[in-house]
Amino acid sequence: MGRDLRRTLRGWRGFLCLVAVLAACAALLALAWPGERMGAGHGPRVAQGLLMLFGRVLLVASLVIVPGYAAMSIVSEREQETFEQLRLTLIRPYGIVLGKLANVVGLFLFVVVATMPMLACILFIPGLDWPQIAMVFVLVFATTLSAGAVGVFCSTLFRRAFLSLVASYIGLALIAGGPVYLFAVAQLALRRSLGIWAVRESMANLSAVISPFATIGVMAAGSSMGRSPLSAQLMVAGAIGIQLLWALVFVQLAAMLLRRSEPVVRVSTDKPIDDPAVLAERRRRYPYYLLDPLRRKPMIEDGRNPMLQRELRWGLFNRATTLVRVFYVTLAVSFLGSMSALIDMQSERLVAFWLATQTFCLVLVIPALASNTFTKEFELGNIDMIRATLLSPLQIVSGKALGGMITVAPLIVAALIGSIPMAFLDSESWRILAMGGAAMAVSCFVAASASICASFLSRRTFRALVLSYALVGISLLAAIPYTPWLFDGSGDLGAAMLVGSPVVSFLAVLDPPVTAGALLMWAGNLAVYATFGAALLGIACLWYFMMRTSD
Amino acid sequence: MTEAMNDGAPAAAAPDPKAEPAPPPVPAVRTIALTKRYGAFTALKSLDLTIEKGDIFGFIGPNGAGKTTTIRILATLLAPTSGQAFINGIDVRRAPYEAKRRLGFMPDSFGVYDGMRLREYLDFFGAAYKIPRKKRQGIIDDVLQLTDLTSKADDYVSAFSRGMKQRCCLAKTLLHDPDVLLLDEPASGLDPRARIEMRELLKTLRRMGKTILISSHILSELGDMCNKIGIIEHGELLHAGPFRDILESLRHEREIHLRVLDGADAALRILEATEGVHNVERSGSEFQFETSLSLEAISDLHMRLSADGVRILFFEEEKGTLEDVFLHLTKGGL
Repeated sequence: MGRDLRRTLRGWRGFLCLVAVLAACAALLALAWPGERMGAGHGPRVAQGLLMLFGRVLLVASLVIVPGYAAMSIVSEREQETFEQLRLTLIRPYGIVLGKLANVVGLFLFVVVATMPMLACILFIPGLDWPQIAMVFVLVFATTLSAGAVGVFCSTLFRRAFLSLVASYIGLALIAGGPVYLFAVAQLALRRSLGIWAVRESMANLSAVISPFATIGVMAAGSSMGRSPLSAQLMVAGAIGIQLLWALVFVQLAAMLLRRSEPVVRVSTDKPIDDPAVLAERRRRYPYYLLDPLRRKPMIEDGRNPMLQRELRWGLFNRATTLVRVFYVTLAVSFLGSMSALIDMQSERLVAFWLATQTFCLVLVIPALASNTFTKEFELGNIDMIRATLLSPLQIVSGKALGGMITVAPLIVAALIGSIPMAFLDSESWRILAMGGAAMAVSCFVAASASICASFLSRRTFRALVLSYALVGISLLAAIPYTPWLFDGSGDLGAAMLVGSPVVSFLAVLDPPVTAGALLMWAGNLAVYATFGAALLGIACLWYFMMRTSD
Repeated sequence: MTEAMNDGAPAAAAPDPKAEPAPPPVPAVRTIALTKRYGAFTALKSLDLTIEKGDIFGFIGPNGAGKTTTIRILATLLAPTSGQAFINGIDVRRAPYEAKRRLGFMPDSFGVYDGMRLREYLDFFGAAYKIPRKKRQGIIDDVLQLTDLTSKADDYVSAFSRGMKQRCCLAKTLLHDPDVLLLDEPASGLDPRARIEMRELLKTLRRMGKTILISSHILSELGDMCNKIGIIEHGELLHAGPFRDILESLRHEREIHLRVLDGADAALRILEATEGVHNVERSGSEFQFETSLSLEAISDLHMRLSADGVRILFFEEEKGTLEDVFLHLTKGGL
């Protein structure tokens, strides 16, 4: 733990995290600071609001920073080939797991301590009591522990940093939001079939216990939601307990994984099959194969881009079963979603809502698939051999970029196919589905371009992944100033259509009356974003041209 | 194509004494004042290096001496800060693609793609070197045979042992039939058998007329394999040339090993009495001594011993090794 903490604090990433959190805290508090607007007697409410805002910033920082560091903790030892040496020492599995966890939590506590002057500013406003402040910090600490434990568990489970990183974030999202989402779907179904509305409060209570953000919401709302202070405090205590329980479970699982002997890496010795009869037999046995992995691949044709061929044959189609699984899972989720969404709501809104939700999910998944497009060549150690061939930089870049795009294509196709049932709701649904599909395709193109660009700019997948999400986030943040329109119709609709994300623009254009001008603006929005995506790919090309003869 | 060009050409005439002498052959590898700086650190300091066609040139030096930097510049992967580098007379900066056609590069560390079989791996690199599909199959079979990997053609590359991966990378390097091979530590991490096999493979390649620049830390093997060596330290070329010449130029004293059947006492007496013979060590009928005598004087000494009734079993000069040269020339440290 001591070694790791020193190394983390010496590195630039620790400093960057610190600066980012401090800057976010300072900016948000400055924006929310009441100044002269604060009327007499409003002090406690304002102070509480600022404290909750402060707590939310810390929670977001914890859920962004901690899993990232924790997910790299043990897997990086494996990649640097120091893991065996670590296992040979007298440190017990629990010691290793707790040491790694303590390092990450220690780093984050360092960040929290650095934000104390800002908390002191809030304390200038009267009305806060110490138990309330303590509860916020305990909740943040418990969430940090659970996020770190999930990260360390994934780091123990996977051998590749990339997988560990993606699994940590997805796992955390599922733990924090999955039960709430399932409960919401169940409530919708109950409301539709039995007309039961009373479950709404229980869902809010469940959310408050499961999701730390909702917990802070409960703390902020206090008695305004009709809860007694005692029940609110019990709910917060329950939330802290749940987070600590998650931490305990995942620490235990990680230690169990460390205790077992390292699994032997399975090496396939299957020979390629040329016999058509055997291939036909296998086709009957494995009907879900799109391409039989054992079918001998033909030689690369003259005039084709070998880089693209490699990406397709050995990157995408070689993992035929993985590809098919991902395709079918996405298709099933999309189909079930569209079917379950048929329960309620007006049909136009329903189709639009489901397409927007799917787009949001795809945009989150795409960086995980595409951000290692180029970095894997560095990590595998193949980049020099490729650069020494007669492949032109354009062939390398276009092969990689197209390969990355095609890798994410099955997801988009599956999502679109899964949404088709909704097209039969009414005569307008087809049009909405087509427009939503276009918005989805452009959004995914931007996300894939951002990920590929990040992959070219970075040499490590970890950095590429972080940069991908930052680029995707920035490109979609343009919609944030116009989000009020999404909920209550306020704000500038025209501006939302033109510069909002493709999904915002798509939702905006559905607002009646649909005019030719609105459609034109919507098309313009898609063009702007498609150009932005292409520009990101251009940056990637330019970067590669610049770095092709440098170390 | 050469035959077609010769068709209709005038019959070979006697050389014209007034004609200009033929230009000297273009060296396979040449660097002129090659310099590479990484910020304040200078990795290469005005390196001048020439390797003739058909040479196996051993490029040796301590870690961080600049070997890999030189090789990467020659392989067009790295731009020098100043100076020039040529492969078969082609400037690697001005015509990188022409240079790449003529060179094969094997990096010191490399990876392999998961899920790719050896034949597929070679097919990919063959396509990347723009070898037409029709020819590629035959070429792949040839390099597989040359590197003794034919039986592994349908195996996954990622499942290969270290030695097999090195062979596989060498096979990839040979696909486009390059004139010059740049091999960065090709034998590192190999077991003794794999090293011997790699050494034999390189000898075969030399017989095929390839020029090989090979950097390695395994000096004893380079000594057997290379006809020329270059020693680099702190980015400066300390010595370059035929290994034996360097050894001779560095040698001030010869070490002679003598074993006699009879007349050991007489031999000792003669050796101690001979001017220019030092540090005579006797172990029974065996002697070891150092001498600054010329080759002729050493021959005279041999005759004198025989003339005085010493029955000589062998009289042999101890061979110098590359390790001796390396230790003598380099200072060590970083």
